[in-house]
Amino acid sequence: MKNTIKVERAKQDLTQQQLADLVSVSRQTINSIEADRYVPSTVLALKIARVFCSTVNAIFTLEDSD
Amino acid sequence: MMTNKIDTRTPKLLAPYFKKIGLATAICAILIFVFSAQLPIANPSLRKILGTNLLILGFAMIALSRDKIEDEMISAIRLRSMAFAMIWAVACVIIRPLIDIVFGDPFRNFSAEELVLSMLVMYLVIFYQGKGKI
Repeated sequence: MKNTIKVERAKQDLTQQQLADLVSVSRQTINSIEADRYVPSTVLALKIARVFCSTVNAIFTLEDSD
Repeated sequence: MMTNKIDTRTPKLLAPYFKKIGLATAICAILIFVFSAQLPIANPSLRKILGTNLLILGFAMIALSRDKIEDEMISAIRLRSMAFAMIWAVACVIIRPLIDIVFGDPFRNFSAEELVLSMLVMYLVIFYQGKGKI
């Protein structure tokens, strides 16, 4: 699953730590999600989408291999 | 926006400072093994029991204490580590006697302490390796 968190963060000028604080996870978790090493739960995906005032579908997209 | 950093799916764990207490306990246990000859405890088996139990207690405290930020990814790593430890224990119990039969000494079994200790070591190795990959 691909995501555009890094791009969205850059748009809003947020650091990984700031985003992590906003969605109540560790900075390492945000880093892992951005690097496609960890797939977040639905709740976390919704929280991230809410921070970026966007939808989950706009931020997370399925790949053919999923 | 959110303030609670504890993942509610994680079972209740010990406070983070138990990691340090567990580490100190494990170091004490290792020191007991290293300096067992100098200890005033006469019975060598008592020294072994004391050392092993302290080591298990120390590792268990490290394993069962929560991280400062216990989020869903740490829970996932914890679950994977526990699964590995369980598979390790099952493999030890099933495969070890077969190896002993093939290579001799078929009556030597894993003691419960050895099994629990190896499970804790496996859990800690996989857990910290998983966190290191983050």
